[in-house]
Amino acid sequence: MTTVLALILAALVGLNVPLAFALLLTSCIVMLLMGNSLEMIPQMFVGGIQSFVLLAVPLFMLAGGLMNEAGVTDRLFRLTRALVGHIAGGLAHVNVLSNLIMAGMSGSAVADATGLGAVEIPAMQKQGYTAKFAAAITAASATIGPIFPPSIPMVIFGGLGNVSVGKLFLGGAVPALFMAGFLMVAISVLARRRGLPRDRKASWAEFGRCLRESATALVLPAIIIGGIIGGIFTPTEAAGVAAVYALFLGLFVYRTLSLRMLPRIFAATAMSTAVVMLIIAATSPLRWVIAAERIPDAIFRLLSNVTSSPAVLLLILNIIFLILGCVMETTAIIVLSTPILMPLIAAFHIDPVHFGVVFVLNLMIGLLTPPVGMCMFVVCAIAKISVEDFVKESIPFFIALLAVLFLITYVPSLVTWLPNLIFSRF
Amino acid sequence: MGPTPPAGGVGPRDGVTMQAVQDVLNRVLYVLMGIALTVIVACVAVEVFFRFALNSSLPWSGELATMGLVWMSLLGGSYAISKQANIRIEILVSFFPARLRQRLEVLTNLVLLALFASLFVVGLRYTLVIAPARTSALVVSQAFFYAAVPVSAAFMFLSTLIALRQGSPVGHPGSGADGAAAR
Repeated sequence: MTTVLALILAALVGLNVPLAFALLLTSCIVMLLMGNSLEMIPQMFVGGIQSFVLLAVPLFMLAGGLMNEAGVTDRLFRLTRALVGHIAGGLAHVNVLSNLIMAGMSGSAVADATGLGAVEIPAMQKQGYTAKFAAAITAASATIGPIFPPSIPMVIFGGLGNVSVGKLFLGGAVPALFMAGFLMVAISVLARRRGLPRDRKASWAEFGRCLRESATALVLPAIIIGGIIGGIFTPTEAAGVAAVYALFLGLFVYRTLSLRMLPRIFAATAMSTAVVMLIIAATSPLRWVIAAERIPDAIFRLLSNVTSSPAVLLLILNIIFLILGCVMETTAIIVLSTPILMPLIAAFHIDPVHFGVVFVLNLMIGLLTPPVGMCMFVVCAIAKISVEDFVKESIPFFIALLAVLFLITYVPSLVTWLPNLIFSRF
Repeated sequence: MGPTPPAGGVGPRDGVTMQAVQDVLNRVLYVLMGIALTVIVACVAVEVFFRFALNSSLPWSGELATMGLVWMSLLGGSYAISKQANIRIEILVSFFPARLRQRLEVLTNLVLLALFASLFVVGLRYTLVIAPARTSALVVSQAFFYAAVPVSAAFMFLSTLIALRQGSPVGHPGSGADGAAAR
C-alpha cells in the first residue's frame, strides 16, 4: 500500500495537479483501497487545521505584509546604512543586518526578500554593485528571516510535530546570528578581493535621526521575543500582537497605510495563508494512512540497518532535504515529512528542538537553489537577472550558509542552549 | 496570432458570461476571506487584551479564531483556483509540448471536478450528522466548523468548471507565487 500511495502521489504531482488536491485525492484513493469509506475525510480535513498553534501563520504573515506596505523596510535600511554603510562592501553588510532586524518581526524569507529586496537591490545597483551580486546577497540574507524568531516554517513544524513553538523560536536565535556573521565574513572577503564600494561615514546626528525614525518599529521584535521569553505570550498571541501593532504603526504613526488599502492586504494574506493551510488540511488524512501503515516503523528498520548513530542519521537527512529542497516547495516538505520524521527522531534520541531548527535552516537554503527556489525567483525578478547569473554569484553565500548548517547539526548546544536556559526557569 | 474562439464550440459570448460568473464568485470569496481574517485578528487581540487589561481570560475567543482559520483556509483555497495560485510542481510538465500540457490540464480539471463533487457530498453528509453536536467553548452547532467543507467544495467545483470551459492558458507562472510568502 505504501508503494501504491507513493506512486499515485508522484504521478499526480508530476502531472501538475495542485499539490493540495493531489494529496487529498491520494488519501481518498488509498482510503478506498484500504476498505474504508470516505466519511472520515471531512473530519480529518478540518481537524488538520483546527489548531490554535497554526493561527500564528496568518497573523505573522499579516504582520509582515503590513510592515512591508507601511514602509518599515525603508527605515530599517536607512538605520543599518548609517551604522555599517561606511565599511568596505557597506551596502552588502547593510543588507544582512537589515534582514536580521526584519527577521525579528517577520517569519517569512520570501516576504523579506520581496520587501527588503525592493529597497536594497536598486540602492546597491545605484552605488555600483552588479545586479547579480545585489540579488545574491539579498536572497541569502533573507533566509535568516525564518531562523531568527518569529518563524512561520517553525510554527508549521511545531504545530504538526507537537514541538514547543516557543522553544523552536528561541532555538533559532543563535544560529541566525551565526548566519549573519558567516555571510558578513563572506562579504568582507569578496569586498577585499573585488574592491567593493562603501559609503562615507554617517555622522552621529544622522545616525540618531535614523534611530528615532525606526525606533517605533524596533519595539516590535522586543515585544515578540520578550513576550515569548518572559512567558507572557504564546507564539500565536505574539503573532496577534505583532499584527495589531503593525496595523497601528502604519495607520497612525507612519500614516503610510490607509483604511482603503486594508481589504487588499487582508485578502492577499488570506490567500497566501490558505494555499499553505490547504496543503496541511489535505495531508491530515494522509497522516492517518501513514500511521496506519506504520511507515515510520518501516523507515526506522531500514535506517537502523544502516546506522545507529544520530550523527550519521542527521547527515543522511541533511543530504536528503538539501536535494528535496531543490525540487520541492518548502512548506510541502515540512508538512509531508514531519509525521514520518518525528518517530524517527525520537527513536534516535535526537532533541526535536535541535532537529527542527536544523531542518528549517536546511529548507531555507533550498530557497536559493534552482529549479524551485522561491527567494531566488523573487530577487531575480527584482534585479532582472537570469537564474544562471544568480547561481554563480550566490555560491560564496551558499557555502557560508552550508557551513552554519553543518555547525549547528554537530554542535546541538548552539541551538538548544538558549531555549533550555530560558524555559528551565518555568 | 489572432483571437481564436476556445475549442469545444464555446463562443466568445459564453466566455464573457463565464468570466462574469467567476468575477462574482471571486468577489464573494474575497469578502468572506477578508472577514475570516479580521475575525482571527480581532479574536486573538481581544483575548490578549482581556488577559492583560482585565485579568480574565475569554473562553470563546480561541475557538472562534480557529473557526475563522478553517473558513479562511478553505475559501482561500477556492479563490486560489481561479487565481492559479495553488502550489504546483511544474518541473516535469515543463518538458511537455504545449498541446500535451493543454490536454493534461483538461484531464486534471475533470479529475478535480470529481474530487470536489465527492468532497461536497461527504462534507454535506458529515455536516448534517455532526450538526446536533455542540462545540466546547462557543456551544454552537459543530456544523459551523464543518459546513466549510461542502461550501468550499462547491466554490472549488464552480471555479474548476469555469476554468475548464474557458480553457485556461498554458504556461502561466503559477508555481504558487502567491503562496510564497509562507516560506
